[in-house]
Amino acid sequence: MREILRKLDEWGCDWKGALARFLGDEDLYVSCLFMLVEDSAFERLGEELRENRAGDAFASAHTLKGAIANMGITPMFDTVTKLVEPLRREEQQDMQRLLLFYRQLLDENEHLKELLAASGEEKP
Amino acid sequence: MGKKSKVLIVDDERIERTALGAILKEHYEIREAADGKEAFELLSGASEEIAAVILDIVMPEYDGYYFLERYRASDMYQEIPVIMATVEDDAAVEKRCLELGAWDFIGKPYDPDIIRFRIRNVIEHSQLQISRELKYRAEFDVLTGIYNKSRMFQATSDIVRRYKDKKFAFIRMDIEKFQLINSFFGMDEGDRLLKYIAYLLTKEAQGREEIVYGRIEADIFGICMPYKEQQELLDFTGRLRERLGKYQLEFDIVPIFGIYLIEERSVSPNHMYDRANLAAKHCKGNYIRNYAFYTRRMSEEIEKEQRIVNSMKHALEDEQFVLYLQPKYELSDNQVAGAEVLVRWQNRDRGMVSPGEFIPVFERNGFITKLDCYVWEKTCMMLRRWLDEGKNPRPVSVNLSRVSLYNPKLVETICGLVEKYNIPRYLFQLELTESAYTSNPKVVQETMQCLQNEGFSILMDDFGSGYSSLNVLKDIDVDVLKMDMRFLSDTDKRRRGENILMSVVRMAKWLNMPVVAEGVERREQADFLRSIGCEYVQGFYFAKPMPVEDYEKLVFTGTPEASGGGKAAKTDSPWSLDSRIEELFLKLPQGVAVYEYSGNQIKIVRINDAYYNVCGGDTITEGKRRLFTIDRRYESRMLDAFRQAVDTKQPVDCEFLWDDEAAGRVDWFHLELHYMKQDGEKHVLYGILTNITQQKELDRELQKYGMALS
Repeated sequence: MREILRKLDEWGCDWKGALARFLGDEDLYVSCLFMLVEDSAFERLGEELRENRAGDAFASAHTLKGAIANMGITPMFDTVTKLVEPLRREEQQDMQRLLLFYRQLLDENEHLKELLAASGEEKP
Repeated sequence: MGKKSKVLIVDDERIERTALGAILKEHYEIREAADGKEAFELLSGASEEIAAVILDIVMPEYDGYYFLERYRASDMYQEIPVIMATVEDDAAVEKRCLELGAWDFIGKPYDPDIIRFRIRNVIEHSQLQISRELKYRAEFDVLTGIYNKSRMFQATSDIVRRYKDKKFAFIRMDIEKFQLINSFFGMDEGDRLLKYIAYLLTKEAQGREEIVYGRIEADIFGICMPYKEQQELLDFTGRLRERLGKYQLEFDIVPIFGIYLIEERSVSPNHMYDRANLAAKHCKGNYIRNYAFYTRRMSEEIEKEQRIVNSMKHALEDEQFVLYLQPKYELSDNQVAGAEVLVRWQNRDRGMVSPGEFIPVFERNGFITKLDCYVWEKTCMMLRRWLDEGKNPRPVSVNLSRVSLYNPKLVETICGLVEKYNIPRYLFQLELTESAYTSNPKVVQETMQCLQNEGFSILMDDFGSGYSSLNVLKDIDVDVLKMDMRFLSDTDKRRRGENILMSVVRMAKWLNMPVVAEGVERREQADFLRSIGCEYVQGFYFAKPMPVEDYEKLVFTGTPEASGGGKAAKTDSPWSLDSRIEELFLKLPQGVAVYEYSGNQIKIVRINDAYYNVCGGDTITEGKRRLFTIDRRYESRMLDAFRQAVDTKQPVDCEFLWDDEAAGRVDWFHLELHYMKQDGEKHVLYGILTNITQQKELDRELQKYGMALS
């Protein structure tokens, strides 16, 4: 088994379901992992949360949620869901709390980067 | 394997597009867009057909809703299914998407199988819609919603076959001058009327499955219905006419019905329609009777026409078209003044074909232009021969069909012909029917001007038959008017017709245009024309159209004079008199003649009744002969007398001898000349002629006695 897949497995990701979406094409899947970790939506989401722009933050979080779901990165999916749902309801938000989840999401994204590096994968 | 359908994936997230692309690329060709705006541009700009769109909802700036709103607003894209890609289960979002026209949803994370099924389902469904639409368009008329031509014909075959015990009729219906409705009120109004007709037909056919109807094309509708008595059909057409008569439009809507009673059920609906069409043609323009039943004769007419068409080219090559000449007479002296060239078809199989049969056919199919050219050339050849034979031909006129007017090289062609045969242009005149002018005034005006500039005389044929005869006179400087005597054919309105003819002649005189009366068939007509000062006549009373040889015999040998013309009275335009003065002039007890004198030439222009008695001749020709075939010794005396009268403007007397060897007579005449007026270079005089033979004889006797006595 490819090292990165083994590591994702250990981290609790549903890489098998995700790989099925890519018709078993591991290279394509890995290339999409690189796309995910470098997604500009992470940075954008941070700015929007800090500037209290809930609507825009929802769009970015939502975009990330879809991508993460399709990539099968379950820990990150759980975290981003914690961001998306309150933002969708358009309630008065506890931004501090949401920023905590955001930081957690960034940490998880860093972790994913490290897994890719540790597995010897290189950006295509 | 067939060509792959194209699927457009709209998502701002590249990973999503990649993932979806990976799932679908095996079965579909993938197009990608990063937001709603780009997607719409791709959809509207690309000519390629997108079979389905997978659309993410949440995207920065131009999101899925933006796309859906524009998609819903445009009819063009309604057939392209849109599937929403959504990451959550939110009923409000789904509802809004469905409202905006989304077809289905797929959830994230994607399940490859579910996605493939859903995409396949929506594409198939949309294609089913398209094929249903195509089927509809193939069978129904989009404007009116009733059957179109092919479906109507099919349904006609079906019911005629199904209801074998019933009699059926195929009716073709259209609206008289429908194109005017479009021109006057616009296409929308025309369409509204067509829909109303469809509605009327639908109402008529309600609950009667054995009636089929449809829109054939434009304003033409077809109806196939059963009947027991023909009256049922007329009731049906009558009802439609009545309903259309009440239609709210400032236009008299008249439906025309061509009815074919289906006798042979094996006849194809196409033929049924053709026959109904033939019948309809027979009532076009007839506002009283707006229907006609097909008869076998109508087909025979068409067949006859077809036979003419089939053989016309060969007939021309085979020189089966021969020239006939109908002389035109000068009413003043009943002398042949020229002829109209007519054409006859001596068909090898059918014998002589009447021009009434083939000319209209040739006019319809344009062959008349070829025949025109043929006749013109044959006419030039005939004139050339006469000139070569040293004859002194009178002008002949050829017909110029209205179709020939469209020939841009018409003037060139005619000039080329007369030049080729070296024909003096005054001998080759052109007749143009007035109605040609009405249908195309500008072309006629220009062409006539060109021909006149080239030196040709133009005769306006059928003057008064069109709707704007006065316009013709105003716009075209024609040289001669030809009017038909049919004005006098209706006995009830004869007086009125006479007045019209008289006015036309008088008007033509003011415009210095001679008038030729055509179709003169009776002596009374000739007398009447003479009394109103008409110059020329043509018609059976004087001479029928005749072969060229007969015309040659008439004109170039013997006396070219009409047998039944009677005595003539007056000729040129300055001598158009009021009818009462005319009568007075004619009845004067003395023999009076009016002369024109110019350049030592004397011409008689008018003679009264007594003149004949004085001369002792029965005709003007004889009278003229008597005056001018005088004894040579007196010719110069006569000329001197005219010269003197002109110079002095005083009455001048002159005596002369006429020696008729043939009749064994010698007559003496006294002519008292009176000067009247100058008309251009001509001098007009009148002379009182007295036969002084008896007096001369008495004088001679007296002289004899005197001499004897002296």
